[in-house]
Amino acid sequence: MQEGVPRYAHITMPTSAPISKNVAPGATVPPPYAAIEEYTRDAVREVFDKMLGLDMAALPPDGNGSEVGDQIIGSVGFVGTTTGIVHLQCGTTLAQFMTARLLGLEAASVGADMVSDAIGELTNMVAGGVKSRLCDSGWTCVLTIPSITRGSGLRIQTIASVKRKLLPFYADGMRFLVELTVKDTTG
Amino acid sequence: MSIKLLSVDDSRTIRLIIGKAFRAYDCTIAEAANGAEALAAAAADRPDLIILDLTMPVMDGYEALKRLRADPRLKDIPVVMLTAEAGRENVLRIAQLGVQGYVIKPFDEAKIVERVSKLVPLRLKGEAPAGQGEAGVSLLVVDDKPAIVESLKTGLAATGWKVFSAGTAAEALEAGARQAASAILISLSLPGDSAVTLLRALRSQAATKDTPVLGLSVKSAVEEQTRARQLGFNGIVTKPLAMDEVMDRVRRLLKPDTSDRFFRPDGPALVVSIPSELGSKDAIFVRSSLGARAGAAVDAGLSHLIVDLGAVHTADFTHVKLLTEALEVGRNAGLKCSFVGTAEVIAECRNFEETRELHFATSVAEALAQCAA
Repeated sequence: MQEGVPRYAHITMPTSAPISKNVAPGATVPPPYAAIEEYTRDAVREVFDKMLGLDMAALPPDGNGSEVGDQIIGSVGFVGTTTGIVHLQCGTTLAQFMTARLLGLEAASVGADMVSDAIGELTNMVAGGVKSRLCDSGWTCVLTIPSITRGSGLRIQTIASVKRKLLPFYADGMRFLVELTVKDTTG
Repeated sequence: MSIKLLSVDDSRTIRLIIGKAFRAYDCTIAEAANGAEALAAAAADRPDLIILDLTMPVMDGYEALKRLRADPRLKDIPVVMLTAEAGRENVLRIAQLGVQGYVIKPFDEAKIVERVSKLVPLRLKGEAPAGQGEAGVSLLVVDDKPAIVESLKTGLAATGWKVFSAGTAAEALEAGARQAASAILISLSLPGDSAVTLLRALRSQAATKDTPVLGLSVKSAVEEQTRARQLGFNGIVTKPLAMDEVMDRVRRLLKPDTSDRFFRPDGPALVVSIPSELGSKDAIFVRSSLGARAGAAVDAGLSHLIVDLGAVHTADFTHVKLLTEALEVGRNAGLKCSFVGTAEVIAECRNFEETRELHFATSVAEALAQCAA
C-alpha cells in the first residue's frame, strides 16, 4: 500500500441507497409501509435494469394477484426492525425468457433448474436491495434464504396481522408481479 | 498465457453470468460453490484472481478470505468481492478485510470485467499482442447475403485481416462471444430492425461494448444511414463496396489517431489549424490525414473545411501545396472550402498560380460566419 494513502482509498461507498434524513441509525420503530414499498420498486427497477437490461415501469398497485397457467414464485424474507417477504411472481414462459436473457442463452436451452436458480437469484437481489435501503436508513434487518414455489393457479394468502400489496411491473410487453408482505405492527 | 480466475458463489446463476462476462477474454474460470471449496481449488491450482461471494453456506466469504490471507502461498491472490450486501456498514466491513475491489449485486457484466481488468492483464481472445500490426485485425461481417461476405473476404485477403461472418443477429452475438472482433460490419438491410437490435446488444455486452461498428448500406439509402449514425454506428460503408474505402474506414477506427492536434470540428466545419512553424514531416502528416479526416467529417455531418493559416507568418510552397491538396480533398468529399490567413500570407499566396484565386477570411470566426451565410 502506498504510504500516505488511506487503506480504503480504493473502496467507495455505494450511492444507490441514500440515508433517510428522517431516521436515526439504529431505529427501533418499524419503517412506514410506504417506505418499504418505495424501496421495493427502486430495487426491482435497479435489478432488472442492471441484470436484464430491461427498463421496468412500475404500474399502480392492483388486486389482480394470480397469473393464470403455470407459475413460479421466488420468495426472500427480511427479518429485523421490520419483518416481511418479497415475492417475485410470474408465468413460467416469462421466467424462462428472463433466465435466458440473464444468462445469455437461447430460451429453448434453459432448463427448469436454471429457471428456478435464476428467479431465486433475482428475488434475492431485489430483497437484498430492499434490505440495504432499510439498513442504510437505520432499520436493520437480515435476509432469509430464497425459496422457490412452482405450480398452477398459485395464490399467496396472508394472516390478518400482515399488510400485503401487489406491485405490478411492465416492460417490453411483459408483466410480472412483486408481492410485498410486511408484518403489521401498527395494531 | 491465459489468466486463471476462480469464481466462488453458491448461486449457479451467478457463476454462469461470470462465465458469460469473461467468455470473450483469454482466461479460464474455475468454480467453487462455497468458501471451503474455494480454498481447496485455490490450493490445487493457484488462480490469478478470485471473485468471491460473501454469503454462502458451509463457509462464507469472510471466513474464506481470512483463511486465504493467513496462507503464505495464497495470501497475495487479489480478491474481488461480489456481494448483495450493499449497505454502508457491510461495505466498510468488506474494506477492512483487505480486498482489492468489490462489486455489488445487481451488477452489469462490464463492471466486473472492469474491476478484474484493473488487477490482472485481461486480453480478448485472438487479440494481437502489441506490435503485431495489422496481422491481428479481425472483422466480423454480419450480412444475410453470402455474396457480400465473400467479396469482403476476397477483397481484404491481401491485408492479412481475418474476416469471419454471421448471417443473422443471433449468429453474430454467438460469433462475437466466441472470438473477439477488432471491428464489426453490420448490414443495415438485415430483416426488420435486426441491425439496430444487434448494435444495442453488442453495446450491452462487456466484450463488445467498445468494438467499432460500421453499417453497410446501399449508397442511396441516405435516411437509413443517418438513422444508423444517430443510433450509434461508428460509420457507414456504402454498397457496392469499394475495398479501399472499407480498409480506410476500418483502419481509421482501429488506429490511434494523433492528428487531433491539427484537426478539430467547429460548428459545421472541420478546421485544419496550421502551426506557425510547419515542419516537412508535419506537412506530410497533415496532407496524408486530410482524406481520412474529410471523410470522417462528412460522416459526422459536417459541410465545410476551413484551413486556418492565421498563425503562419510567412507562407511558402509547402503551404501552397497543402492548400491545393485541401481544396482538392474538400471538393472530392463534397465539403465547401474556406481559408484563413493574414494579409502577408494572402499576399504570398497571390504569387503562386495554384493559390492566386483563393478567397481568404481573416479569422476562423469570419470563415464560420461565411459558412452560416
